[in-house]
Amino acid sequence: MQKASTSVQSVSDRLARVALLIGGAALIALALVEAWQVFARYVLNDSPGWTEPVALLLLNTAMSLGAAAAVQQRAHFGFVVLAHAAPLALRRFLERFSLLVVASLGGVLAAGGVALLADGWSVAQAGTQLPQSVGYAPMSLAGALMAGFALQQLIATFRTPAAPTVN
Amino acid sequence: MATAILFGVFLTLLLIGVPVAYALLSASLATLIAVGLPPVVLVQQTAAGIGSASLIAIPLFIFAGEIMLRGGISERLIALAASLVGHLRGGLGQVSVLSSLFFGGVSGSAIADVSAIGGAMIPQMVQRGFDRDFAVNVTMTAALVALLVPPSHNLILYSAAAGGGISIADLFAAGIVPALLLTVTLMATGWLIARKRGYAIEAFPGFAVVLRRFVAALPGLLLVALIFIGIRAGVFTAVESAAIAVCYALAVTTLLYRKLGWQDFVETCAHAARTTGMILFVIAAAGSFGWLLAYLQVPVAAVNFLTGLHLPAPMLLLVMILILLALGTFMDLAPLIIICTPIFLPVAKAIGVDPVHFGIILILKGGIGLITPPVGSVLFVGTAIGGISVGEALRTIWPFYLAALGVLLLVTFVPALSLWLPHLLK
Repeated sequence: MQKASTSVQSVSDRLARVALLIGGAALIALALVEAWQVFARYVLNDSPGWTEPVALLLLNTAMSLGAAAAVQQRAHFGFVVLAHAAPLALRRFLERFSLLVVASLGGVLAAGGVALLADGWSVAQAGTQLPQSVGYAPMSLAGALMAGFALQQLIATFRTPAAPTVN
Repeated sequence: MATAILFGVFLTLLLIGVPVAYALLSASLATLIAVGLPPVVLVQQTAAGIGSASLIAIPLFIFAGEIMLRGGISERLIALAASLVGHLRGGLGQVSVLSSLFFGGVSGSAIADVSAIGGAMIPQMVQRGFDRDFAVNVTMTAALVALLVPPSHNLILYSAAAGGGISIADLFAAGIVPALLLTVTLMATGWLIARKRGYAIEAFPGFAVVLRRFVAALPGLLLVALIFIGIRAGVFTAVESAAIAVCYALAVTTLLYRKLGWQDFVETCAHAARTTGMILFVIAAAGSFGWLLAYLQVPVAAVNFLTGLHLPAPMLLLVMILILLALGTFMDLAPLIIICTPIFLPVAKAIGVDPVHFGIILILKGGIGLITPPVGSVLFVGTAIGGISVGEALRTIWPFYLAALGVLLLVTFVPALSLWLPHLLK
């Protein structure tokens, strides 16, 4: 049981790492796309039309995957002071409830994202030949990751004792 | 009823520890269901929340900030600040304030600033005999300076939240004088407290050291100047300037300073992606929340309510300050800007406040909220770094808090402090 839990944690760590590396690569590509726009405007005397939609897709990718990894690393901004001041049993309940909220919303983002992705897949985006709804792809993937990470943490709370109060 | 659900669910979830972005999304989802709209609207509006091209600048400035931090630019800026003001009373406290001015909003948020500069400065201050509460309080309030100096992403966010019609170049210029005023005020406050507590004075390192450190820090200072002048002169947009900042910071840290190795670079990218996710996901979630506010006509109701009070314009402005200060105690700056701009900007315009001026007021007010109890987020990060309780920090923070409030009132009621420079540069 303990071994299975460790290996699930290890898979979760790796998935978050891969998500962050892809998000980081999207940031590099974003900087290059915008720098290319300046170069093309001043040196080639031509403002390319594809840069903005591609940059928005890269922005969406970096944000979505970064946000998913932040769920796994419990890095999202939140105000845990009141929750931490609560008695142990209540604190554990609130932690589980919070993870359930994150998992549910991840599911909504994944399912809604896939529906919207399918809806606009056959329509081409202005400025590029990419499908109009491609922007929903990173969000639906991130939603699925968020749900998975949060559920894994939720299950883990039933296996480990509650952490002591943080001062 | 729907408005009550929107705010009620948000506040309840926020206070029981659900992360801000998910509290915003839950409140939006509950409200969508209550008004009979399909849940898929949540996904559409969350994606639309980061659909504005001007927001592309934010992750790029975050990325540039990470490169500066890990590549040695920020430590040279701190070293320069130390040589300039380290010999004044309150030495390293003054350095914290000046470093925040130099390092600016490149890091992306006051929380990131207090983490970066506080992480470097608070342990040094404690080691040199400063009380922990002083070290923490001066660093936390100094983080507010970074919210106002270009290229603060909060100003870009305000422009986007206002519909994109407010010039980012004007906002960048408008933040400079208030940032300088806040810097001087906080330094003077630090000086007074240091004198009262009898902190030792360190020797001036000499002009040769100042010059050497200035030359070492020049590439970092030039980056801020390049961005500001480039946007102001119309050579490139705010987004393009952010991409140039990334390329420039990479060139300086790898070719000139030779500090950023491959492994460091990979970690920088991964860390920047995570910070981007944390900040932009809140913005995206606030997008759906903001859309519902508009759908429920909350901004119109707010204008009608506030103008219906028939208060003179300065009093109305004061009421808005109090409301925003209260909201700022439990909301991070990004959602505060996105949610409050559509509500309060129309009221401000209706009483003749310039939108650029209002942006500076909003961001300074939101920033003060971050160091205000009961739940100011910078307060918690700063005290965690300093290893003291919130209560210990609060017992002695009030002089810094009063100084920041004084600057806020000056900036609010003397519009020229914000508007003089943008007009001069036009």
